[in-house]
Amino acid sequence: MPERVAEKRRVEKKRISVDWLAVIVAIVVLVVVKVGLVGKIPW
Amino acid sequence: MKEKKSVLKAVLEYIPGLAVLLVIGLCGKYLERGFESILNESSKVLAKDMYILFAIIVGIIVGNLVRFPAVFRKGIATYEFFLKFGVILIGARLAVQELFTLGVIGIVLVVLEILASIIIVRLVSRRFRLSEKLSSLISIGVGICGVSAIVGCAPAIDADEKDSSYAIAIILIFGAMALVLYPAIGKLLDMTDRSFGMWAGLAVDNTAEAVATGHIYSEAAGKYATMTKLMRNALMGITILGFALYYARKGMAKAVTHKGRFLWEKFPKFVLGFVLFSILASIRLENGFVFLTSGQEGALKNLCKWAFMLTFAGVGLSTSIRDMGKTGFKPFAVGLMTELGVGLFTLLLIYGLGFAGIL
Repeated sequence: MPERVAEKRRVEKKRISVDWLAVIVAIVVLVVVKVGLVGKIPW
Repeated sequence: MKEKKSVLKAVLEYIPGLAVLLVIGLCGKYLERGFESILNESSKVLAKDMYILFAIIVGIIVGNLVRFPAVFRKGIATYEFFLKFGVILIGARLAVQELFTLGVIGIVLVVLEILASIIIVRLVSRRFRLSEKLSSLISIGVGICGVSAIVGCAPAIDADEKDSSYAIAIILIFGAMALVLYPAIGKLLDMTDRSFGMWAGLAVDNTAEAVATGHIYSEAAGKYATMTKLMRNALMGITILGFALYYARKGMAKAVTHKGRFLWEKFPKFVLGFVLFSILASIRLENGFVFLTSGQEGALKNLCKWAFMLTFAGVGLSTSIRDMGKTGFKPFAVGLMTELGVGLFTLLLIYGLGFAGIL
């Protein structure tokens, strides 16, 4: 599955930035929930 | 102005794929509701968190029937981001005391599991006369972190593209099987949430599939599976470094010059986010102050479900049955025997700790 390998390799190159992006977005979300900007999130 | 336009264009490129993830994820969510409605009151628990399995199944069906044009690819690939984001949010549901208590046991289990994977793959590969590098890729895929570890290790040991493809196919085939087989075995053996979660986190190869397998069993098992899997991920750098140094010494790969930088580059940074959330969510002061109220915890929990819904839609869409079928007989046989060996070994470890009263 060369396509999958190539895609994963591209992701792997960006892995660090995706990792940090996930951390940053999660912290922003935490702040938003903590200060009460968003109360309930429905499921 | 031009820059603003290009940022907007870059964001818009993700929309078509994200829309596909959302539609497939919602199908999973509403299938779960439908499934729940046909169950009687005492069996409703069976439908809990089944949106994960349904999203994967719908994703596999759609992904293998429809060939999406390139415009969808960027958005579909965001499932990797949603997985990491969701995993970080799970940290908020795990008390830091529990993280460190189980962490000590977990690290020992993970090291034993990695060693067992390497030994089992080596033994089986020799029997099937598989190349040393392919066997190393399978070992690291089974032992550590599935696809990411293989992709991270392949350049470090100068492995062939074909070998990487074989190893990735094996991880994906057995990851897909684990989603159904592991929870069934867990129920059959009447395993506790903690034991099952740790077993899934130790034995299922890919992070997405390990998290999904845990959640399909129960929400609590999903939490433990995530934590154990993250420990394996955290050891990815050191294991890849070991393989890179081994092949460099044999003159079969380039030498590693900056070991510290190599380790930091391979370290999955989102694990730090998971630990940070666990620490923050555990803040409870004597004056009654809690960092996260139950309402805030509930909001983060639901957001985590939305993130996983998109993640597992993407996992399903990226699972190509045709590509899996291209795996040769020998790599498949090695994969099967290794997965059986590692699955059994880790199950015995978990049971051993249970009998010793540690788990």
